[in-house]
Amino acid sequence: MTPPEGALAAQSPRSIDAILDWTPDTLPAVATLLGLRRYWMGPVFQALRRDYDAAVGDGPGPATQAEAEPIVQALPSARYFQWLHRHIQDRTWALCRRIARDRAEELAAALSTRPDDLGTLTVDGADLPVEIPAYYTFDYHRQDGGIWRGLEGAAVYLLGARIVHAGRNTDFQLHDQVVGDIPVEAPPRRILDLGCGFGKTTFSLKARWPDAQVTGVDLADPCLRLGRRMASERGLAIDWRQGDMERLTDADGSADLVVITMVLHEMPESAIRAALRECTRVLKPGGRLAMLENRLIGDPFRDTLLKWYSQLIDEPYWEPYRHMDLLGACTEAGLVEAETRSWYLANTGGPEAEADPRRWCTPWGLTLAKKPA
Amino acid sequence: MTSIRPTETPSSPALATGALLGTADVDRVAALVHALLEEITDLKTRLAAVEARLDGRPAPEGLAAVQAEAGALIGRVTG
Repeated sequence: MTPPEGALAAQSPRSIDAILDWTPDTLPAVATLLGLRRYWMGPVFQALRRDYDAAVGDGPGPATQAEAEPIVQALPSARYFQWLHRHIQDRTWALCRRIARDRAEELAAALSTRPDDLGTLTVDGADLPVEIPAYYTFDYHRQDGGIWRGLEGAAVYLLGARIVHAGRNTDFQLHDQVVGDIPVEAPPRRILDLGCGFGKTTFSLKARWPDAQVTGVDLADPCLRLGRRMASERGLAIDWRQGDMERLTDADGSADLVVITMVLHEMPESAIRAALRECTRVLKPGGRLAMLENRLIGDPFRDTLLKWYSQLIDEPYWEPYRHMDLLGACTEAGLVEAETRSWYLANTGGPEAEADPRRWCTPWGLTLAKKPA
Repeated sequence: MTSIRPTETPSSPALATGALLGTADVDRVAALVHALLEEITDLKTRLAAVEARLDGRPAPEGLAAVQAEAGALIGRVTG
C-alpha cells in the first residue's frame, strides 16, 4: 500500500544543505553581493591605493601602520571604501536573515532528533553546566543576536560563511584545504576541534581521518545541533559538545590533535592564553596544536585597511590579536616548536598577491605547536 | 537557561555607519547602490525566467537585449 504523500514528506525531510541552498529567487541577490564584494576588493581598493601613492609621493613612505593610518584616513576615497564594506556586510546579513526566516519551520523540523543521527550531542544541562563568557555575547560581525541565541542565528551564520570568502567557500573547501595542510607524523586517534561552530572544519577533520574520534566543541548550542545533522547527512560520526575552550572537560593527555580555526581573533588575549593552557593540558605528549588565523602583512597601507576591515564588521579583538605574540603565548603555555606558516586560500593569488601592494589580500597564518614528548 | 560568566567585554564599536561618509553622501550613495541592486536583481530574474522558458525552442525576441542590458549593469557594479 502506498503511503499518502504527506506521510512520505514527513519521513524524508530535506537535508540542511538543500534547505539552506540558494534558490532562483535568492541567487540574483547573492550574485550581486558577491559582485559588489569583488568590486570593493578590486577597483575601489585600487583607487584608494592610487590616492595613497599620490599622497605619499616619491619618498620612502610610512614605515609603520601607525604612520600610514592618518594618511589613508585623510583620503576622500577612504570614506567610500569604508562605507561600502560596511554596506555589503549589512546587506549580506539582511539577505541571510530573510532566507533563514523563510525556511525556519522546515529547518527546525529537520533538526529534530532522528534514528539516523550519527555521533553524539551534549549540551548545557545538569551533566554539563555551561557558562557563556561575557565577551562572547557581543554581536560579532554585526550579526544581530549572534550565533548562540537561537537556530536562526546559526542558519544566518552558515549562509554568511558561504559568501564571506567572495564565493570561494561555498562548499567549505577552505576548511578541506587547511585540514589537508596540517602535518602529522601518524594518523591522530582523538581530535578536538575547538570553536567548531556548525562544523566547517570538523567535517574536514573527520573526512581526512575517518578512523579518529572527532569532537567538535563550541559555546553555541544551535550551531552544534546544526552541525550534528549536517554531519549525519554526510555520513560522518562526530561527537558535538557545548563548552568553553578556556575550561575543557577533557581528561589530561587525551587528544592527539587540537585544531582551532578562525576563532582566536574573536577572543580577548587573556582568554586566548587560558585556551592555550587548556590545549597543552589535554594534548598527549607529542600531540599537535594547529590554528588558522589572520596575520599582519607588513605593508603599512594594507595593514591599515585590514584594521578598518575588522572595525567595520565589529571584530573588537581582531586588531589586538594581530599584534599579539602568539608564538610567545604558545611557549608560555608549555608548547614547543611553535611556528606560523603563511597560508593562502586556493585561487586567491597566494604569495604573489601578498607581495604586490596593489592587490587586496587577506593574509592567513597556520600556527603549529606541539606538547613536549 | 545558559548562564553568563563575567569576563571583559568589548567596548562599543569605534565606527558608526553615519560617520563613514557625510550624511548627504551616505544618502546619495545608499540610494544609488540600492537602486542598482534592485535593477540588477530584477533584470537577472527576468533573464532567468526567459532562459527557463527556452526549453529548446528558438530564443524569444528581446532575449539578447535583456542579456546585454543585464551584462552592462553588472559590469558597472563589478568593474
